[in-house]
Amino acid sequence: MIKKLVKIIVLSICCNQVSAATCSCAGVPLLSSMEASSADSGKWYLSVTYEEHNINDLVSGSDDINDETERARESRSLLLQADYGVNESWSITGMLTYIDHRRQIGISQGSFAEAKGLGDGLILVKYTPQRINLFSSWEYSFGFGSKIPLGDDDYKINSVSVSEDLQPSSGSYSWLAWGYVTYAFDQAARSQIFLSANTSINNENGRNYQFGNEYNFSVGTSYHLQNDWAISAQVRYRESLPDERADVTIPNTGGEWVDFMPAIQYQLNQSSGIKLAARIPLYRNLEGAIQFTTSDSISLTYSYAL
Amino acid sequence: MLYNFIFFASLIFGTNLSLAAEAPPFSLTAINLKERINLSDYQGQTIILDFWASWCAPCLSSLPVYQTWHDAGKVQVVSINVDDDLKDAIAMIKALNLSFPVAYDYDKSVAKLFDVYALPVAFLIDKNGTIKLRHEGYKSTDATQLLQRIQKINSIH
Repeated sequence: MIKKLVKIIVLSICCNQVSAATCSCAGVPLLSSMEASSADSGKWYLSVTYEEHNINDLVSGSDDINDETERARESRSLLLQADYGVNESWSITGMLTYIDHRRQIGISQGSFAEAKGLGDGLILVKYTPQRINLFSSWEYSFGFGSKIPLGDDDYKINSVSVSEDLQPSSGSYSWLAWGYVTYAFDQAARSQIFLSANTSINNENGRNYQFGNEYNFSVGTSYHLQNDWAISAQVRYRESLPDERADVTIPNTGGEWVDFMPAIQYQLNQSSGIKLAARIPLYRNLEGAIQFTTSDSISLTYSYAL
Repeated sequence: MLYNFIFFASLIFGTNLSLAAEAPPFSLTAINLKERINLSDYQGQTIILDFWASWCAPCLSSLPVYQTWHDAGKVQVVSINVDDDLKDAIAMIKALNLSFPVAYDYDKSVAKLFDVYALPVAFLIDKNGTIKLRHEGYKSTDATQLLQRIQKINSIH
């Protein structure tokens, strides 16, 4: 485990907004995956992210349990994000996802399940009354929007619906709220700290399943090196309420997580960059007797500004 | 985050100073000339008034291009540095061997006067002191477009 952590740290060394997912969510939790930027007036920012997310840690409350079941659970996702700055203060963010959930229970060939397809989408309107500029070291931004169930939430294998956590889409609309504050320590804004918070208020899908509401709070720092590299790191607290079906709580869903999210970015030219990011669990306190949860995730993002 | 990298190159703020307006007068000390300069000193010439700082990468791409135009007599360049530390400005003037006037806007009052919130911003000002273009950010492909505008302004007068 330690070797694995060291490997991830060495590979990625630092972060900003990184993708996340948990065992209790079918789609990718989009708000956590969203880049924090608010597009400048008249500008487009486009990004594509590939994420690999392993959900193999077995946890009881906050205690790790040794899993001897040979189970392997992985989610691969592709996220396309577009931001457009309507004017100096208002911008719009849209996101599409393609999800590939995989689960292997035991070692027999028939124990492998895979569900893939279009996931949830997101649209968010952001308001940025203050940006970092020559006269201000602060930037504030907040936004409201909706998660849109674009994909399949009744994916079947051999005519049998897969479990909710394997469905590509959540199947329901959610209300989203998002906020971001950053402070630059120097004129060039090379060193920054930031606070970010978001919430997702979820609704019941067509199969009467409701993913638990989600709350995220992050604090982080970023630093631009003199060359084309930048590094960042953040610690994120995440709380997810238990899922419900027809108003009945689903056991072994929901909980609290604290993650370390490092990232490193390289600027390819004035218009584009790539970012390698990771998520490493620091602490979790999960509902119910036992839950599988995130062991690690890693993502690669390519961004382009028009 | 890409935003962080390109922020100062592309941020668009403060467009209160409209085109076709008369460029507001200012008086600052030119670091490299060691004398005070006024915008009115350049009345009768087409001017690029360029706001920059040593930490702004696109600014450092544009300055050598402006120096070439200045040397060739295509345009009078007047630049305004907004570094917090004067030493950074002086070091960059030497590194880039800038010979056009570089005025130091120590309290950013002139930047505010011209509604410059992000860098770089270049203003094209005609011989009558009228602002003909506000150009924000700088890419290598911008040079051709800017030079065409300069030639057009020069041909009118």
